[in-house]
Amino acid sequence: VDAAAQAQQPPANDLASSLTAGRNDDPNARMLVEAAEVLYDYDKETVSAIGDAVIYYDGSVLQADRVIYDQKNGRLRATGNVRLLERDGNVIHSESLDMSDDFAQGFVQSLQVETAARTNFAATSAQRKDGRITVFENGVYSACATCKDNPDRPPLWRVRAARIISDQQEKMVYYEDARLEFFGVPIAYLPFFQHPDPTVKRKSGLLVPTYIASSELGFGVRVPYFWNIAPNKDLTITPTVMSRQGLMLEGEWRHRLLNGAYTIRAAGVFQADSDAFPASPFGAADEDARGAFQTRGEFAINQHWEWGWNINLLSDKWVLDDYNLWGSGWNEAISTIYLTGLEDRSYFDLRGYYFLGLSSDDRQKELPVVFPLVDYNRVFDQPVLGGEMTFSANFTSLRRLEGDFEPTSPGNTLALNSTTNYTCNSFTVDCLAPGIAGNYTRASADLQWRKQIIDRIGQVWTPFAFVRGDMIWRDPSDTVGNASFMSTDQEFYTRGMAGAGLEYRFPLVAANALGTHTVEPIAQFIARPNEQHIGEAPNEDAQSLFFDDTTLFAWDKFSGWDRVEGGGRANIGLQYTWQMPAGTMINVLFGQSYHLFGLNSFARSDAAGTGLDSGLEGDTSDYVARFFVQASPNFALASRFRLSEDDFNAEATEIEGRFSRGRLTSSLMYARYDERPRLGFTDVREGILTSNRLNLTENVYLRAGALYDIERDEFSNTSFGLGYLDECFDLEVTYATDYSRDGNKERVHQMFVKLSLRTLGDANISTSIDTDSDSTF
Amino acid sequence: CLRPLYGDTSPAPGNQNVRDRLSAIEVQEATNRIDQQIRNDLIFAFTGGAAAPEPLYRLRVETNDALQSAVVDPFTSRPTTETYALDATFRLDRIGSTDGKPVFQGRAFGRASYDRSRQRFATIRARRDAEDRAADVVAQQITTQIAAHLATNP
Amino acid sequence: CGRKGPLEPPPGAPAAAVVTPAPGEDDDGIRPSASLQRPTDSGAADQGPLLDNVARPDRPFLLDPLL
Repeated sequence: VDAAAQAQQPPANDLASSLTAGRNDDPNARMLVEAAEVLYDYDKETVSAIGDAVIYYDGSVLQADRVIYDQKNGRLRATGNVRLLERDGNVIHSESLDMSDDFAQGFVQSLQVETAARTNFAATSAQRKDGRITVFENGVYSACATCKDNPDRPPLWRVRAARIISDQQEKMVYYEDARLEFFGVPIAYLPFFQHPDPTVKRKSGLLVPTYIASSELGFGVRVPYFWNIAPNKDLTITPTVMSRQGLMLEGEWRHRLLNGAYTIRAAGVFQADSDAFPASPFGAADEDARGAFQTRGEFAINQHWEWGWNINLLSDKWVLDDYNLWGSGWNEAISTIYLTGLEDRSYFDLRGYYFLGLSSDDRQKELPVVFPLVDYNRVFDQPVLGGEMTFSANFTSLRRLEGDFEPTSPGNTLALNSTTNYTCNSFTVDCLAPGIAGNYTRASADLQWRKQIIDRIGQVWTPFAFVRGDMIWRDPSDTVGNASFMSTDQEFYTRGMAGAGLEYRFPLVAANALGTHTVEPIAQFIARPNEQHIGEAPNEDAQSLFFDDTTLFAWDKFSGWDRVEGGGRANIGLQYTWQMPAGTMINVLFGQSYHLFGLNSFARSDAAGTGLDSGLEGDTSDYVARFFVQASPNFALASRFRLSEDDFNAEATEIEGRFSRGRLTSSLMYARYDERPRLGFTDVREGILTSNRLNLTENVYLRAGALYDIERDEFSNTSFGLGYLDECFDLEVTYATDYSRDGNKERVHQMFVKLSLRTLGDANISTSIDTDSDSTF
Repeated sequence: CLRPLYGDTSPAPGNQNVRDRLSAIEVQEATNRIDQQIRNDLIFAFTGGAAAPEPLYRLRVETNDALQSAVVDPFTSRPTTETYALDATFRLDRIGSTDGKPVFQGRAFGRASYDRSRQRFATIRARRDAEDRAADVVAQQITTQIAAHLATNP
Repeated sequence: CGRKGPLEPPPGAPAAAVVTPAPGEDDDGIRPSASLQRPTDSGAADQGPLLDNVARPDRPFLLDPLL
């Protein structure tokens, strides 16, 4: 239930304090009366204020054409466009008002109350008792603003009830014999209905149900019960009753302590009809009892340190997706425990990882358990030899039970006992081993120094040097396949690397009517000995090598510590930045890398195949380029290319555009990666990802998104949405289709309806209809 | 026409050259690893590794990031190549200025891609490396824009 | 029906010092109490961050010398 209560700021009093303070009247408050004419009638003991009468009392202000104060029985009667501004921000308009002189007891005829949370009540009459309870006779409640030019037009929605009781102490609003009306047309009858006062953020009770309709689960409803134990503790129990799968029970415990918070949640179901799901290994047909458990915690130790965990346990790979639990798009469930520290220029992280692979091609034994994993990085505050000194270190230790062998050609593919998981028929040809079974531990440390010198004519020289050492314990198990990649006996060895280099930049700037142009030739030379022990140990954290404009000038182009770049290399590039007066910025970079001497680390691959087809294997590398445009906040273009050095063939292309103009906001990403056969990508990968939103009117909008696989000429997923949004009502209907075969018997169409009446609550309906018969694969 | 950005032969002999004004920029402290990477890069780009003089300007950088991929394997529903997208807005203020008007502000963004595989540990480390690379590009773009601005607005 | 709002600090917890210095003002490096983790690596996106404006104690920690 969404309690968006932006308080309206009435001029008269301090709203925030009065909202929470409740009604403690100031005993010696005096009543101040102002009017055009004040008449005293001694025998009837009445005082009449006639003509724009205004009465101030204890923070409330009463305005009316005419106010008669009857001292004998302590009543106050106001008539003629009465306006009462209460201390807690409520504004009451009515024709006549009869209340006790201390404003607590009141009886109002045909009144209209706007509460502080921009919701309003209207009623033929209202009774206020001891400053706490307001009873509206045949009243109407709505959170929609009454339209100024003709207030009688029925708002988008309202609740009409014989009696509405608003209890400001208990902060609840109760309705008796109520009807929900849309544009004045009654659509739902609610004999008894209540909801928390809009200003309440946490209140125990049933939350809004979610309706489910899917071929796998059947029709169902999900009704969460929220138990607000304390401001910092709560428990939510959510039963889901489904026509096809029966009852699922979910529980979520949240607890916030002084310096942190943790949550524990679990879900379990004895599914009645398991063959709604694909048979193993594609789905959970042979599972009856299914469940999921997750706990997360984050605790602050002091200003710079914190620790935490995120642990997931699942009964099977598909339970989270099948039962739409805890977010969507679960490709893996990563459990981790961490201790992290960060201050000024240094960073420390000690962590452990346990991975649950949730794709049908995952074999759990092939994923490593990593503990401990330490990352440390520190830039020294004081200059060393006039330059910047950086020390960084990493310690990685992991175990893997079974090898992960990837065939790189269809011919070498061997299905592992008919699962969706494949291994290599022959381990010596067309086969890579991104996962070596056994134990592996590496400790690395790296010291880097650099200094930037600018000479008189503005050339920027950056001499740099680095030294690094690794200690490696490798212990591959002697299971089948490992021996084809490395020796399987237990070994300890060290590996060193040192290097020195120079980076030369000569930025030239010109300012003219078109803006500021900066042209910057860049040249970098690095001299190092050859890399040692290539391929003798598993490569766990440097498998990905994506040569692009961001790796062109990296001193070590590998993405992790398990490999270290050696040999002599020159990186040459030209950067051009154009800043237009109107703020548009264009940034272009184009460059190439040359292997000068020694062993080219990228030409010698390791068990994981890092470097193969990367564009860096030859003495002259492929060309890399970027072309960025940032034209004001609503247009940006980021395109990046790798062009083969012999025929300029586009090895990798990524073009991403973001654009918003007037009613249309859209983003599009096109990517094309040429074949990389030696890495197993035997065909081109090309796709378009787009998401768009069109505001038809001020309140109505259309949304459309899709991921289209150009190579396979089919959609991966699509989603279309229609929505209406205003100050009191939010409706969005989304129709999404997931074409992925992973864990789905067939194409899954899903429709979500999200309906929210501000302060009353929102309802979510999700239906997933598998109607396509032609999509079985 | 083109002249050296950091050249001492700046038009007005009296004015501090761009390098001195750059190294007088204090970068606001970072609250997470990626922002710290940008900050460390900026401090080196501004000071060249030398000790920073008394700060005259303060630079504040706000970032947000996202992962995006246009190539998803239909059988495993896993992206095979993914891009880490880092967007930043920055604002340069003169220390002690009371009018709240920044000396200069702008945007920068960095993109770095990496290959994803069945080995989730390799993917996490590749993503961490892509975060650093994207942060370096953002820092480079911020430096170029501020330096060009200071060079053309003494 | 009820309403499930965000967790609030335990009763009696000191108000967290969420310090966002004004642009011109000096920044003495007090860490806003947001988490050091970035959303992209916190895993359960649907639950949102756990640590927002939590009080960060000012006590020493064993590994402080490392930073």
